[in-house]
Amino acid sequence: MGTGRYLYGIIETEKRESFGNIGVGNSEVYTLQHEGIGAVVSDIPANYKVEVEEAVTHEKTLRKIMETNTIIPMGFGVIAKNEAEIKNILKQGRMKFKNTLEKISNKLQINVKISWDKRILADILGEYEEIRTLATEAKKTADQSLKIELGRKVKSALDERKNEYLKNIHSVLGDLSSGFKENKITNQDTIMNASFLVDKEQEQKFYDKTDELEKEYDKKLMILVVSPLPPYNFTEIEIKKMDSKTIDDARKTLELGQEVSMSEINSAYDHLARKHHPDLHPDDPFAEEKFKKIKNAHEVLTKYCEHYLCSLEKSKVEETLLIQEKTG
Amino acid sequence: MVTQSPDVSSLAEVLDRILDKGIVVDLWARVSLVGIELLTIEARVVVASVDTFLHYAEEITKIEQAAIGVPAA
Repeated sequence: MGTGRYLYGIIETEKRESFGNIGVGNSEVYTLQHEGIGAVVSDIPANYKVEVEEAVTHEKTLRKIMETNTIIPMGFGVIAKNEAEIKNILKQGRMKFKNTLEKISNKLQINVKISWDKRILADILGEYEEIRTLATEAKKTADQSLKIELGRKVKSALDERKNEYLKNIHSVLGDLSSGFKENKITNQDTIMNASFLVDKEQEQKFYDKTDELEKEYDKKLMILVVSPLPPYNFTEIEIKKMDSKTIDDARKTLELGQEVSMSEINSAYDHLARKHHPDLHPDDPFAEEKFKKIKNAHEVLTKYCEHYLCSLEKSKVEETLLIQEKTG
Repeated sequence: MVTQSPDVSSLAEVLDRILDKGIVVDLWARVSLVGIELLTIEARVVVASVDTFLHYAEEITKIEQAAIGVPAA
């Protein structure tokens, strides 16, 4: 069995760099580079079983590299079969990686989670007579609907405060960051679970501000800041293999050969779109569908040919990677 | 001090941060992550529901009892 390469991320580098034996299974972490861009990897036996617990190693390795380099982190658990595959990704993704590295240069991610401090309920009780009355009654009865009614009232009182608090918090922390992403909320007492992209120069100021916010919302909110983190949420890139069937269908729709230029794609589209425009075929129930298919084929081929030589031959298509911002 | 090092995060928290974030590659099989369902089971999205209302009703009743000095049942 051969040796695979476990991937940690992408950095800017001109030469092979070693980061020491800090990888999965205590392996050496080093770079494979292509024209100034390097993949941070470690060798891994092909039959090695990566345990879930290694997620901690993955993150620790990223944080170590982050001390000296700007890194685009990989998702957890990606193993390439060999060096050639990694070089292919570096070659085809070069511009995308370069732009992303520039965007996150000298920045770090800070996660902020804000939950209710249970003591806020005392405030709510003091403020809403209706809730006080309901709470006293709900205690005396086994009637579930009264409890649900009480809970609903409490929730809406909390929601009102939540909006007011978050508006302030967003504006305070937003001023100190250049990116903001919301994460899933997994607990009913959590009101915000977000990631901020922060310039290293602003890092301390950001911590100071969150300390101030904690004081301001004492007995109301619990604020937890986790930092420093690699910019996981601001580098969401997906790399896919081009689907040769989709390309071939599009090629046939536009009546093209195996080797084409961008201008041939465009003129084939212009010609067919004009010929099959639904306005010209009011009696044909399939005209709309046909027109849509032509438009779609044009979109597919333009995307494919944007950066690459336009060979629509199957083997060429299959070598091509689709490297783009993650959607959805 | 509200800032915490990622070192003290639980495994579930780390996974939440690094799964499907950053660069995701579709070409190679990802490692088989045994036991991941158990760790991420709490990661279901919370929606406002009867459960939530009952949760708040219970919490506020506790607070109310504490405030008037009646021990919780």
